[in-house]
Amino acid sequence: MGRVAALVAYKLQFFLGPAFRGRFGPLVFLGLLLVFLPQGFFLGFGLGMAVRDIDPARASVLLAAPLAGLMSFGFLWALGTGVTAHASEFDFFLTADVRPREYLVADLLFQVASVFVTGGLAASLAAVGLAVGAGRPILTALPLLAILLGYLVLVFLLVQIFIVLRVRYPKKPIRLLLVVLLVLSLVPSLALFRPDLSLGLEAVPLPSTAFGALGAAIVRGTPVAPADLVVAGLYALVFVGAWLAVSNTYIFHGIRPALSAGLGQISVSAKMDQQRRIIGGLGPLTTRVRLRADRGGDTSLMTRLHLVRILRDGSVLFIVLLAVVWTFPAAFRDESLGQMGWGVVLTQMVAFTIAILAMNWSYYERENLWIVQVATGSAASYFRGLLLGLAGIGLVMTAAGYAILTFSSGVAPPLEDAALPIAASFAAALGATAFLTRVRIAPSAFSPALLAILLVVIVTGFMAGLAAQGLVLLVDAVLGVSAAARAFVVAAFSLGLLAFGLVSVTRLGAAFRL
Amino acid sequence: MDLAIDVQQLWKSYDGTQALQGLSLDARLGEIVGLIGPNGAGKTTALKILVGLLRPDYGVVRVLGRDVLADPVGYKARIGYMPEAPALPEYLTATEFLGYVARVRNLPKADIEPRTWELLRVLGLAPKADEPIASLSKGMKAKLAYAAATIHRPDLLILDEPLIGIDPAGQHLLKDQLAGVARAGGAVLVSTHQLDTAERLWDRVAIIHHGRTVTTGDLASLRGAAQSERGTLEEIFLRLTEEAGMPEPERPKRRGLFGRRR
Repeated sequence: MGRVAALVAYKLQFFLGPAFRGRFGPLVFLGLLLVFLPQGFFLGFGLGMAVRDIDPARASVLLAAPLAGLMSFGFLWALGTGVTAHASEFDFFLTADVRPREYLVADLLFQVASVFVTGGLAASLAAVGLAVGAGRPILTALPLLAILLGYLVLVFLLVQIFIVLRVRYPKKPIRLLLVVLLVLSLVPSLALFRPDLSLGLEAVPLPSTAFGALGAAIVRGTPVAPADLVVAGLYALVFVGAWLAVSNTYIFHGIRPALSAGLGQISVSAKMDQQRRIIGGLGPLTTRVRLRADRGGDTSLMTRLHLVRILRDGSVLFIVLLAVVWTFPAAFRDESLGQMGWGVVLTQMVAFTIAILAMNWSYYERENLWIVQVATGSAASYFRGLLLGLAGIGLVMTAAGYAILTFSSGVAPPLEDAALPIAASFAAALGATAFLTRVRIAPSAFSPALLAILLVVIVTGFMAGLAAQGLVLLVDAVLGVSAAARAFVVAAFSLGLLAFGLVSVTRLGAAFRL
Repeated sequence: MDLAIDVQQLWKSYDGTQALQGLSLDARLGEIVGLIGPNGAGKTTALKILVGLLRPDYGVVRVLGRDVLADPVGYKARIGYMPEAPALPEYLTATEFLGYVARVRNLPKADIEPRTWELLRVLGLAPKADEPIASLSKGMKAKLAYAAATIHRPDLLILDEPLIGIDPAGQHLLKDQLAGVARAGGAVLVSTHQLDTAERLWDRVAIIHHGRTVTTGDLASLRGAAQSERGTLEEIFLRLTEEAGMPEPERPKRRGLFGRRR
């Protein structure tokens, strides 16, 4: 057991250590934990009230939904690496005489511990919320937490079983089975979004419904049905038995490093490896768009360089995914549009995208500036290109969002709404580029610079966007001009902003040093 | 011969640690000078100062006749630099990368493509010309970095461990290239740990230790300095660096002479 404890301690130190280093680390970590506490409580409280008011069978299904979600994450995790090994563990521990079961136990303990260190407080408050919402004593939260913990252990055991099977039987369609199970496991989660939907799952003896039924009985203060207890116990026995049967299988040759950095940290080298794979994988597709160095001026070359980078290193996939995730809910849920306006939705999306692209630049591209620095000493055109590239991406996203929202609502949104994301694209790009000429962002979620760039980009984007919007409304109110004239005002404002940005970035870029 | 590099009394500290403590160094046009020293001796720091990526705390640095501290940009058009672990834009293909460097180096647009292909062919990279750098091997990336350092036909090449990760055939090719640069009247300063190569191919060697020059010269003069009549460069290196020991901490007479310290 000493070796297991040593392994767990190493993993915990590696994973949690960086979060507690430095002056701000512990504070930011605590802040992040506290941010999720109210959400945890109110989620639990809402569930508790619902469980109290509906019939017992539906209550079981409702509580089974988040448990089913956990199981889905488990299957997804098993489709990936499944164990939390760091590269150094491969070099120094897995080459020692550590038995596979010892390693799996250590990994299980680490996974459970790290989940509880990061989400335990919020989960505890959710359990308290459940109890309070259902009108039960607060201490009812304790057995609820015990059920959650037991279920979590079973999920992690199941993940490990699948990882062993994947390594032991590489030619069997284990991944396919996992995909099928993943899809099936998502079905009970629908109850969270559509509580009125009856799928008859209460009659199906799934692990989540069995544990959900136990939880519902505790929350409602009714006796636990023996059938539910038997089903939950049987699942626990089967999972533990299967794990005992397979956990001594040698798997170290078939697992891959999963942990590349601690909590909130970004391993630049691991990300670079990942990018390398993406670039290699997309290569035949993306290299069709060529960077022609023998064409255009310096700023044009640098703008194209940045766009080619974003196309090839996988950032474009992130942009498309973000646009879809951000725009579609807004497009198909009229109430959110009514509350915020689509200009705000698009501006949030554009500013957030530009901030993320700026962070990526700092992590993966900044070092390449030595090429420019040893040749000319000035990075002015390089940063002008970055500004134009980021602004261009913002505008393309705005146009795409505009098209999607117009298509989904059947009505073209007003121009004053469009002014917001258009001007924000230029301002956010300027904010990001200017920031990058002066600040190097540490690859950590606890880095003040990382929070600062998010703030700078989003605030400058919104301020300029609101200024443009105000200008359009003012022109409209005072002069009552046509839509074309108002569009001209937006264009003139944006171009003025761009000109200011180019001049500023030229000065800042000229003084840039690696 | 004209001096391509003239460094005198170079001092540089990082976070309270003295990386260079009065380093002096020179290289003439038409010769290859090897810079050797133990890990942490200050080789990379010295090279980075020469190419303008670092500013010294104190000292004189003249490259190709220009005071690089007074005019930190003008001389760069005539130098080529290959870092020890070059960060390359891996999303570009080899041709795109060299084209990009050529533009940054102000090559006429019409010359970019022929020069790019000339280098790719000479260095055996032509078959991989249109693949992203991410898919190249470590040795190929090193050759590509060498191509980028020489695309504008510089008069002075400054190379930091250029042979690391390159296969024997590639190393042979690169050594030939360096000899060619020197024959054509250029100067080459190479930082290396490969003492056998330095012994056989470089015209002179500067041994540095603890941020200062222990000795400079050809093999014969190094033997004299080490009082070793038939010693190999490795033996001489070990003896001289051992004898040099840790220097007494000294301070330059003037500090912060060159404005913002980095």
